[in-house]
Parts: sequence; structure tokens; C-alpha cells
Amino acid sequence: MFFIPGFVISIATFPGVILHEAAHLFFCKVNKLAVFDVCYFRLGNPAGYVVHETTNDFKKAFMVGMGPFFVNSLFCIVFCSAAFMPAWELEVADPLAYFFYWLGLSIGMHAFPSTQDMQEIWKLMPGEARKFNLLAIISYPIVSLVFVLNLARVVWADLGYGIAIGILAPLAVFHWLV
Amino acid sequence: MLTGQPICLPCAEAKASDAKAGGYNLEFARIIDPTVCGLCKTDYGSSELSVIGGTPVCGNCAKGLYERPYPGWLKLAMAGLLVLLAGSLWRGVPYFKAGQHLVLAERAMDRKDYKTASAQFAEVLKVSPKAQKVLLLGGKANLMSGDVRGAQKFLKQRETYDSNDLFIEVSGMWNRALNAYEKAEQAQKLAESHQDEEAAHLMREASNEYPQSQDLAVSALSLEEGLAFNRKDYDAFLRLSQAFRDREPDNPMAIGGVASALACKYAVTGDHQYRTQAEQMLEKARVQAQSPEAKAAVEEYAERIRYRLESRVIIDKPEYDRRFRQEGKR
Repeated sequence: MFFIPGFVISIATFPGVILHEAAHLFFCKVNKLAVFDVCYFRLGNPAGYVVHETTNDFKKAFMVGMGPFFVNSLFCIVFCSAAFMPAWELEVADPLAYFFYWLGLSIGMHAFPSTQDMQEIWKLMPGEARKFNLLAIISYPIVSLVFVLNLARVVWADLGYGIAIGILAPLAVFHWLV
Repeated sequence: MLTGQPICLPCAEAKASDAKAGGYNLEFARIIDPTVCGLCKTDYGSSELSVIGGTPVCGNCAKGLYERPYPGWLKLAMAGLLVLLAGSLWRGVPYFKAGQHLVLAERAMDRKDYKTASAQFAEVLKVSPKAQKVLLLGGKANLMSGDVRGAQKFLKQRETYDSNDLFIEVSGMWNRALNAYEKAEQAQKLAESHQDEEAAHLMREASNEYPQSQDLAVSALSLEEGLAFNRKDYDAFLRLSQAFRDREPDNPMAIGGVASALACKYAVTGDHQYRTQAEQMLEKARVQAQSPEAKAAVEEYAERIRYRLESRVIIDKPEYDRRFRQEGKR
């Protein structure tokens, strides 16, 4: 396992950071939460952020916290689907395919919500689950998995996730369609 | 606030520092004036503003907080990327078609339909002529169907290959096939010099080494048939000629070989059942012969077998030619 400074990874995969923050902003707007500040990308930790109004509504907190996970995952699959066939299966040296691969994997690598993103969900989840809020109940495994994956970033779990959904998912879908 | 009085930030920081040095904590909070907008700092006099995220915010600023627009560069970049993506997907149609052929080829490989697999891999090559996996699998499909030339067409597309399990497997098969064909060539030379026993033995070795090759199997059977005929083992001759015919059911000469063996059996046993079967086989061979060359070959063969059936005398072609065809040439 090799160590690469976080800011270098952020620079190399900046489209993922931008889309992650844009997705936060999107879900804040959808859920009518005030947004005080947005940084789409910067050289620092965190590489991007959205400062928004807190909420006691679990659904809103879940969408804002986990939204980028789903949006980035979706865009990773979409962009990689233009690239996986020539670049992965057919070994064709197509620059455009490699560009979309980089774009898709960069986006997929930044799908995981940060610990800060999940704070509100963690705070509200137990109470909501006790009230039999279905979303809160099904959130437990999802949030737990994302939390573990987030910790496993040190062993490139984010890249592994990007590859898994950027290559294996389109490949599986393609095999299923043929 | 300290003892009921508001204090400024520098004083609060100094007091907190002194307190910490004395071993206890002092915490200060900013006094928020609910009539002053926390964002634009406009003082609304006695009108209290609504608090958003702990900050009083006026109506003008609140609108901006809820309707924060995406920056133009972000919208432009996303639109550009989506257009590029659509173009790339459209441009990638041949890749997807090749991918479809690849999936179908791999499925054909799984069900051991190597001819179909080879044809599908050939379609993939049109788009991806250098992909190691495609070339190796295409080569393997051809080797498994006994087509060494077809395998060569795939494998020669690249000068070098990265070593992996598939490469090791295919190169092993390729080397075995080449070795088998070298042995077959030697066997052919032995047969030409009338060393039939050694030729048949070597050809069988070649066929066993590369069992997927129909050519080698047929050549081995053909030489073994000849050996069985020479040592007058007509049961073995019949069994081998039937095995040959089973491998090539549409080959008129293979069918003719069975007729020849049945005629031998008739000649030595006098059992009319063999004669009837031999005549049926001859007719079948005649029907199967389509080209003028095949028709001529079957006629030549049929003439000798009919002689065998009529006379119950078993002679080989050179002897038949010596007895009955020399005069015709004069």
C-alpha cells in the first residue's frame, strides 16, 4: 500500500470533489435548507464544502448527507459506460475513452460522504429508528457501510469503489443486456 | 457577557486566557442582535429578523440563501461534458457492437462451440485488432476446433504478449499443435517411403498430442486402415474405416472406405449381408461425391470394390492397376 498526500489525490480527481459539493447544494435547495457558503474546490482539507442550515427532519438530513453518494455513483457509472468497452474490454487506445474513465473514476472516488456529511444523520438516526421511520431503519446498514468504507479510504477503498461501480457495474449491465 | 455586562472580543479573549492560566474555563458567546442582518449587517431598527442557522437574516439575504445559483462555469462544464458524453456514446457504437460479439464469443467458448466463438472473435478483431485477451481467446477457439491456421491468424496479430494464465494455456496448446504437425510431417515422409508401420505409429502419436485436429485424427485412421488391410485384419479394417466415416460422414472417400472393408469381409466370409451393405455404401459415396474430382475418385474406387465383390479376391490398388489397367493404357 502506498501513501499519496490527500491534496494530490484531490487535484487529480477534482471533478469528483466539485460534483460532490454540487450534489450537496442540489439537495439543500431541493429540501429548502439555507446555504451559507459553498466551496467547490480548494487546495486544503476539506477540498470542498457546503455550509448549510441544520435540520431535525431525518429525510432532509439523509438526502443532504447521502445525496452526493448516490449522485456521484450514478455519474461514475454513466461516464465510465462510455469508456469501459474500448478501454477495459477491447484494449483500444482511445484518448476520449481514457478521459471519460478518468472523469468517471474521479467522480466515483468522491462518492463517499465525509464524516461531517454523516454527522446529522448519525445524530437523528437512532431517534427516528425508534419511531419506526423506515428510511432511518434502512439507513443503518447503508450508513454503517459508508462509514466503514470512509475509514477504509486509507487503503484506497474509494478507488476500489470507483472501479467496482465504474467498470464492473457497466460490464455486468452490458452482459445482462446482450 | 461578563457579570451582566457585554464585553468586546479582545477583552473576552484576554479574560478567557487569564481564566485558563488560573485553572478554570470561561466561555463567551457572541451576542446576536436579532434586528441586524448577520449577512448584510443592515440594521432593521426594532424589527426582529428571522433566524436561519442561528443567524438573523433579512428577507433580501434569505432569498439568496435558499436560491443559491450554480456558478456559470459549473453549468457550462456539465453541459459540455454531457454533450461530449452523448457524442462519445454515439461514436462508441462500433465498440459496443464489438463488445456484443465478445460476449457472444465468450458464451460460445463456455458451451465449447469453438467454431461460433472463432467467428465472433474475428468480428471483434475488426475493431480491436491488438487486444491480448481477444487474440488469445480467438487463438484458443481455433486450436480447440483443430484449426491451426485459423489460430495463427489471431496469434500473429501481436509480436509479444504479456504473460498470464491465458497466455500460458494458449501458448502451451500452440506448441503442442506445432509439435504434433511436425510429427505428422515426418509420418507422411515415412508413409511415402513405405514404412507404413512407423508412419502409422508416429501419426497416431501426433493425433494423440493434438486430439482436437480432425486432419491428424483422420490421417492416423487412414494409415491404420492401410496397415490393417495389409495384414489382412479385415475386422480392424472395418472398425477403423467406420471410425473414419463417423468423423467425416459427408466425405465420399470415407464412405467408400467402409464399402471397401465390407467388401473384404464379404470376400473372406461369403456373407451376403456384407455385400449388400458394401453396395449400399458405394451408392452413398457416389451420391455424396459432388465435384468432378470427387466423382472420378469414387468411380475409380468403386470399380475395384465391385471387382472384389464379384470375384471375392482381395488385391490392393497397385495390383489391380497392374492386372487390369495396364492394358487400357496401351
